[in-house]
Amino acid sequence: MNPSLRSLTQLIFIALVATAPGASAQTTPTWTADDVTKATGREACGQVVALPKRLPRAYNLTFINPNKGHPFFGVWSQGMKDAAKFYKANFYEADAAGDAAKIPDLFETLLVRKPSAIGTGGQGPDVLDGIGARAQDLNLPFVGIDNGPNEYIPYNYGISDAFAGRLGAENLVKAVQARQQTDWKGKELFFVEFTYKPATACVTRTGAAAKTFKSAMKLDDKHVLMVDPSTGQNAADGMKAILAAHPNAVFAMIPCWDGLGFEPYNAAKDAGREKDVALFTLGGDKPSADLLKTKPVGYVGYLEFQPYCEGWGWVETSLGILTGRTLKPYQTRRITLQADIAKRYADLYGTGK
Amino acid sequence: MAQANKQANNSSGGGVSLPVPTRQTRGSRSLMLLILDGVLPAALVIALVTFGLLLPGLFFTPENLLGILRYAALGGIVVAGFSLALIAGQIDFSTVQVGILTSAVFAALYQYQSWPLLPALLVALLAAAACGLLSALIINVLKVPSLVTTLAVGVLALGLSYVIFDFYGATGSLRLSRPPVRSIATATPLGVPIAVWTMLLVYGLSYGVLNYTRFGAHLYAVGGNAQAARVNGVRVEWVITAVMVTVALLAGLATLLFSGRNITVSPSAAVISAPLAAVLLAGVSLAGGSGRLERTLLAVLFFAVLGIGLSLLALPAFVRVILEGSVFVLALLGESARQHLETR
Repeated sequence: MNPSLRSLTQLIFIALVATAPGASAQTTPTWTADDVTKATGREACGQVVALPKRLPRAYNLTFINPNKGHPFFGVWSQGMKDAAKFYKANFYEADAAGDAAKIPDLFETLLVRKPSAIGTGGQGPDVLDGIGARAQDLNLPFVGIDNGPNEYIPYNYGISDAFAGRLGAENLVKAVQARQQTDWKGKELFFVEFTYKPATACVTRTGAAAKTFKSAMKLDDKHVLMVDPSTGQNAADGMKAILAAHPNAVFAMIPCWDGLGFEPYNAAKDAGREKDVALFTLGGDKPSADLLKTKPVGYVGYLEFQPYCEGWGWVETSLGILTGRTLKPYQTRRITLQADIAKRYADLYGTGK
Repeated sequence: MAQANKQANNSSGGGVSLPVPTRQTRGSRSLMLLILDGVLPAALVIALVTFGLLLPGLFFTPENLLGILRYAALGGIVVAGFSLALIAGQIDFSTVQVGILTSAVFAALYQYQSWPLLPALLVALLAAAACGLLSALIINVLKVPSLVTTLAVGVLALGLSYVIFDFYGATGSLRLSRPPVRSIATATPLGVPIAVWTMLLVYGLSYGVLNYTRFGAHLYAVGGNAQAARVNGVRVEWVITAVMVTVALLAGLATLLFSGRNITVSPSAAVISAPLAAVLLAGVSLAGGSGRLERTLLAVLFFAVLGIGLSLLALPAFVRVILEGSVFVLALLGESARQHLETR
């Protein structure tokens, strides 16, 4: 090729690339991971997507919080509000206050805000199928959080459930193996999975934990038990029945979320069997930290889902989808054990109560 | 007839001789009852005006007003049945569970067994009716109070639902995605959701039955004083059976619409969690024998206005819970005052 023709071709190519819509998005100054870490203070959140410092237009992000009064979901809300303020997006939230049946109605209510994207979190197909299909009807991007995969919702943001379950089980295995050298030596061991079948995320999460624990500890199927409150029996009653059926055994337990583990833990404590359980929870919100700080004999620790960062990341994810950017998955791998709780607690909540 | 019902109500003293009120006490009593009657419409107007002022350009939009009606609709259908039962002196705490069983039966037959729509719907509603019938049987034959009876029947219905969930549902909920269920449940004839039309139809029919039929008069009579009603030739057991079956059918219908919209049936499909607050706010007496359906509709709308308004204001959940709890307590106080005035 003639050199001048080649130069001309190169110039045209560069001009085309520089004026392409995607390229202009990439050349706009973006917030860096350091900016986000600094902006999120002691939470020191990671970045899901590098967003432009100036959004191309005003976006209305709307979210139906399943229960703002719940410590975990309440912190989501704060993370979302702060992130929306940081990125200069409008954020409107409705609160289902623990009544999931109201979520489809609240979805309709939020439509008056002319949303650019809408979402809810911590729900199973019983809620998501309907509102996911409705969002599709309206051609409205639906960005959920911790819902697990759903056939009506193209993007699944939140905790990596299988990873969380696996990580939890690996830490529980270490704790159980240590106890098998001391007070659990020679005792029959069971793994108890506390799940909630209507929530796809829970099935994946605790299922991965059970599989990992079973394999690491070489348990047979009879020694892997499941309690599911959606079958009508609550977690505490399920645990009481298990304790009664195995009076000399010990139990390693992982629940889908913190609270679902504390019920059976307290049941074991009430039955005088606290020393026979080893609990590792998934979530790590403040009540879990409060409990772990007291160093109960059977509470090993937790995997922190870092709800503030998760809420922050939901805003980033929504804006990332709306501006057509490449998203990184939300990562959470912070483990807090009894040995670390004092420092972690002080970092997050101060040294007070 | 409505006036006749009220008179029948007020005179159903069950043979107890009451002191004859003087003109002055009658006057002050009427005034107090009038004030009590006025509380609900006034509260509704105050709520509408307040939210209108706090949410300018947002609250009084056609979309939002339709949203309020949609929010009220499914719970409102159940509350209509609940009111009818209370007027007849019965209370039904099995509506949530009967609704879930109805939807589970429908999903099992229509989605999983591929039955045609109408037979599946019919059998599902028959399951609801069977629950109502069972409650009525226990109330009528064993003379167990309806509160206890319906609690037990509710547990049984939920247990049967779990059998169906367990049989078909691998993830704790049943799919209901086979067309045209969702299209029907989310249809908007003349721009208004079908759930709202259904609610209006239910209230219209119930109003007609209560105020313009012999059966309506019998409902008030049985609720006011079942013994006196029996002496006067009312077939009390039949009235109780009819009302318990009606409540169960309405609960089933509302939950079917709910599940159809959500494309799933789940054990947590409660279209309304606290119907008692709405009916008490409406002035339906816990003692039975009094209450008006149009006021129940106002109470349902009031709770919907409160729910939507507070959601749009994004106030913390505890504000909503405290407000709803306060309304419940005020409704109880109103009910107590009403009973006191009516028996004076």
